[in-house]
Amino acid sequence: MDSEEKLMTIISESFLKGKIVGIADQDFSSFTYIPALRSLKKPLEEGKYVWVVSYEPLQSLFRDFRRAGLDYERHLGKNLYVLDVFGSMRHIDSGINGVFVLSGYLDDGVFILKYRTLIRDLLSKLRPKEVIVVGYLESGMCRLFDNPARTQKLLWSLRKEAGVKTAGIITYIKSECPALEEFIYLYSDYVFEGIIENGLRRVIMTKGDEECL
Amino acid sequence: MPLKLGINELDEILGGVVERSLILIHEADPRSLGKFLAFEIMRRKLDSDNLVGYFNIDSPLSITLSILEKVGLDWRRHLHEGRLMIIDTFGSIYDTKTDLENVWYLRKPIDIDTLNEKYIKVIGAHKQKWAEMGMFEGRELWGVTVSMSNYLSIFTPKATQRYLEISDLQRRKSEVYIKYPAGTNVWTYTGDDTIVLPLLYRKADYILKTESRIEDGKVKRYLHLIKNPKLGAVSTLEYKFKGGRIRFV
Repeated sequence: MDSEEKLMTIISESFLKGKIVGIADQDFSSFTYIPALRSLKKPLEEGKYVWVVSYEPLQSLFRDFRRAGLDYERHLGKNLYVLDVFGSMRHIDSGINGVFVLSGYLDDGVFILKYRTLIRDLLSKLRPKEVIVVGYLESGMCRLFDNPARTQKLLWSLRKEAGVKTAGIITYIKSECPALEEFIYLYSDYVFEGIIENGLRRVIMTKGDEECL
Repeated sequence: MPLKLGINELDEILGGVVERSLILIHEADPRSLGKFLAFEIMRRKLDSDNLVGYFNIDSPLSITLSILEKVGLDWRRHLHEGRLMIIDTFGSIYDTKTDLENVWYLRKPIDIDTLNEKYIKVIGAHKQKWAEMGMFEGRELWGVTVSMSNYLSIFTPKATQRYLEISDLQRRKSEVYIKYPAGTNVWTYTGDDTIVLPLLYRKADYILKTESRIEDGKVKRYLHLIKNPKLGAVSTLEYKFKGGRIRFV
């Protein structure tokens, strides 16, 4: 099994088992998060709910969805929902169905409170049995929040509160926000690092049982 | 008589640890998963019916408890049976509180200058409870702190340095540490800095430094015994992470 195939297998299993997979690209040229996004194709087609929290401009997320081969427009507002954190913090509302922005004054603390209210409302409206949560390039938190490490921990702690079965993918570029690496390694059940070595793109499992194989 | 950590490979190179000493686990990089060594020591101490005070600085308590569950630590039972007490510093500062029994919160406002005093108060109250329940008899007392490096982002590196410089003396003079037994402590610290870490290296009796490398497309993890009371040569052990736990090769 090559490393990308292993990544896809582990992500698919983690969706079933309610686990968290961290994708930690060592720098912005690795792009391991694109195959990770591809793993959403099957659950979306099966009608599972996917909640993407995007820390980059919305068009960047949509481009990466297309690169990953996802027909996102078909699912947006049905079983795919996006919280545009970048748009929220910069006060840019795309107005696209299925994409949320948090409005009004926002700082780290207020963001958490408004986020909690939004997911409570959404969960009570949709009543999903399970949700796949995707943190799209959480490294963007370093540009958007005063204390990104604390905000990241508080956001993920809401997972327990939600009261539904969740699995998750955290995508992240280390060189853009080293402060988040500690939590990703602590919290994720599996971590894959993407590196380029001798001109080859490699994905290495760096946390999880099979790292020892 | 020296205490054991309960992990054979480590006890062998350490030759046991002196009671009331400070063991610093320096997680040089997050991938080395050094914190899980602290969780493993904690799990083994609790499972063998010893007392542990856990200082939760790193994360919201719900996240910490979910991680403890993954490493096989039955925190519900240990909290309920009184072996485990938790001081939730993160929850005290950021108002993420629970109503779990034997979980303590520090009274607000919390700043670096009053933090130690507030810790002493809570530790004193719980030690009194342990004494009244007769829990000290025949049991070891351990303090586990994850992670000291979080103080740097909660406060500042300089403030953390000041806290460490004065807290030792304040605790030594406090009645709590005279009236009741004092514990053996395990502190974790992640990353590198030149303000707080050197102070901790001097303060600790034992230093276990964990680091990881990618070698031949695989992750390799190493633990270096940097310091012990005898200041012998640095010993290195290789370990793996499997089933949520540290396993020495």
